[in-house]
Amino acid sequence: MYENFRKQFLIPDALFIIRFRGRGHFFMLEMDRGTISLKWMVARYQEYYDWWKNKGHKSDFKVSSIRILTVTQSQKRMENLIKGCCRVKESGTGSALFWFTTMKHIDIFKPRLLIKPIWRKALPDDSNLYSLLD
Amino acid sequence: MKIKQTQTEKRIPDSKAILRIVAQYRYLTVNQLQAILRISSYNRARNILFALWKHGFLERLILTKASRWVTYIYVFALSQHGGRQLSSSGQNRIFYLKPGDKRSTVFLEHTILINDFRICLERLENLIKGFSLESWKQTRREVKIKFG
Repeated sequence: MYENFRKQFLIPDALFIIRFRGRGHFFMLEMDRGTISLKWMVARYQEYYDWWKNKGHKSDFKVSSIRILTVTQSQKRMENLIKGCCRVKESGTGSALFWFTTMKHIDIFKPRLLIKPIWRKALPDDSNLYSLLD
Repeated sequence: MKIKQTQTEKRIPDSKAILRIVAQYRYLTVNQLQAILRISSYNRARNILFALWKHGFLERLILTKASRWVTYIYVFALSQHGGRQLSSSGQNRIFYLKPGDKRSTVFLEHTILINDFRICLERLENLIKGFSLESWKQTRREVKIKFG
């Protein structure tokens, strides 16, 4: 059953690479509309974290760094996901692997918003905002 | 089929090119086509998609959103006929909907949001010097293979 869970859940909504000034950035995207329970989302983040810790990104994609982006429906949901995501490490110190923002920043008529500092890292004491191109 | 075009607007691709765009995203709204083609008028983008739908090249799905009022968002996908048009010009593995095919609201909303994200990145290529979207993989098959 756990195997099925794993297979079902380690499928991101999208994988993409952006190149900026010659440097490549590799991302996985999760679009969260709040339809999946927090518990399951945290379990999914745990799977991602374990996969990353076992250097899955190096063996599967041949890349040295990766970020897992989650776009959430609301600020409240984002806060809850970040809080849950901080538990992927036993120490509860979170991981900069996971980046979060809300859907209000995804506007096809204002695409520049996407690369503004709108992203939060899943770190408990870090409320700074970062740009995708950082 | 010829799409009418006014002189003031940017050059709008022919209908086959529009079908290719729809095929690329699988599901496309009027707003999304407007953003991709950078057309200033919503109605213009709407007319392009509706004309292709009326001629049987596209299937149309309706997404209902209930808030204060009920709003309808039209989502277009290639039809079998549209798929044949593209495959006759050498394009392979084309996704299309059969008549009467349905998709859930949850699925459509989710897919539209993912496409919005992609469109933003693609538009940035023209706006930010030195920025490019090198690769985008979205289908279950594409992202699953990598995980083995």
